[in-house]
Amino acid sequence: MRPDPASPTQWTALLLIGAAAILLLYNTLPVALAYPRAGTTALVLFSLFALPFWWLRRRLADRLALPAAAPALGLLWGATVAVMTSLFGSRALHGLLATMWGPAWAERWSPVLAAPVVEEVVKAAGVVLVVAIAWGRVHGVLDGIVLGAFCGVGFQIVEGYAFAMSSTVVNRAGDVVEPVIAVFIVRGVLAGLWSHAVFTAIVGAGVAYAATRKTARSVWIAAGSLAGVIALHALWNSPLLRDGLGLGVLGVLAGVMIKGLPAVLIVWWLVRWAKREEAPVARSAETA
Amino acid sequence: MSRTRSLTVAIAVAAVVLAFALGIPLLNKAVSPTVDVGGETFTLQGVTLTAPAAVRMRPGYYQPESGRVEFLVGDAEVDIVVAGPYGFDAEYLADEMARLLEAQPGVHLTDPRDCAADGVQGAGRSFVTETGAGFACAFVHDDVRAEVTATGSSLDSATVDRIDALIAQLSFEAA
Repeated sequence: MRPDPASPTQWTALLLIGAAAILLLYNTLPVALAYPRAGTTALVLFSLFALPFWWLRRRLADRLALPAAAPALGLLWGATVAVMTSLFGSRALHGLLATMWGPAWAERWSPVLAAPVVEEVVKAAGVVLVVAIAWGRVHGVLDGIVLGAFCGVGFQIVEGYAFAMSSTVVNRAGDVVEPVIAVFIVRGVLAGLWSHAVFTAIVGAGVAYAATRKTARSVWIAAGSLAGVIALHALWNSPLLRDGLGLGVLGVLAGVMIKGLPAVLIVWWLVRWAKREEAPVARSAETA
Repeated sequence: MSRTRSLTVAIAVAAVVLAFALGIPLLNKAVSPTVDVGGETFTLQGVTLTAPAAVRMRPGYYQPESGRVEFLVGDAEVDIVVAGPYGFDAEYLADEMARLLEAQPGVHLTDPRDCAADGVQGAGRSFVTETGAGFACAFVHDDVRAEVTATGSSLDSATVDRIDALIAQLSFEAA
């Protein structure tokens, strides 16, 4: 993955990430300056999301061929292009839904019908772009899972930070850290595992499968993984089981598990399948 | 990967991003024209507001569950947010609104201003931006707060009067 001034994919990544990063800073910096304590706390807490995935990458190192720059680029894409595009796209789709079916209906169903489509498609586009940049270096599905997870975790860090800062602003109680910690517990601890990183890891697996198998069937599998992830994301955002069926905190926690666990189990199964079916990178190099 | 394939992927990815970042927002603007909501009543977290004549809005900008609504009065945008419970007074809330306004690039606070909702006195701050002017009003009644932020490229006195008339419709009776 060396810089290549003649590579259209590298230029696309550079221009889109650069433009989105400027927009992101323009949108987030004023709030961070107005609430420095809350902003620093949110940045530190939500950046912790990257640690388990960094650990995962180290654990799977002997089966990964993608250079470290690939997941780093995926993370940057998720944190900038995916976040900003989703912000504009989801808001506009919300407006279209409100025009068609009314404001109250749109407010309830936009997170189910609009946000999952925009967010998952744009993150998947980032995975495709990085795979194209690192063409020939993708060894198997595990490379895609790790790349997708990093793209998703980049999105998750910025989204979590934005939610925490929005909560601080909405709270209107000064530069305090309590709203940030409350958001971190809900979005980081309770909902952190089965969020963007896991969804995009599934898409990453599909894209890597298509990139290594190079058959029409594998392309359909990649498209199916994206469709499946959009459905899982919509289920997660849906009001279904949000009230815990009236069973209190335990009911709400059970609802979170029922809605979030399928995506985690799919990634767990994909990792096991890939470890069983795909040879370690070093062994394949020896036999080659 | 060949240059042609690389170019194809680059175009496809850029097209996806631009479709969501520019295409759909432009489509939304084209097919979701502003509508006159004069005479209509909006309820935000128990606070009601009946829009005076010739107040307009885009359909997606009324979010009752989030307690937000955005109106268009002439060329000015008027953003209203209602939430609760809130344990501070209107002056503190106005200072908090000013804190964020001051951090925005090109925004400078000018004078405090009077703000009055239906039977509730608020606290206000005026400001100028690089492209226009605006003001913020803060109201706290019992433990419910309402924030109004008005911005426009040219806030002439007629438009300001119309915005004040809109704010005067904010009723905390049912909150």
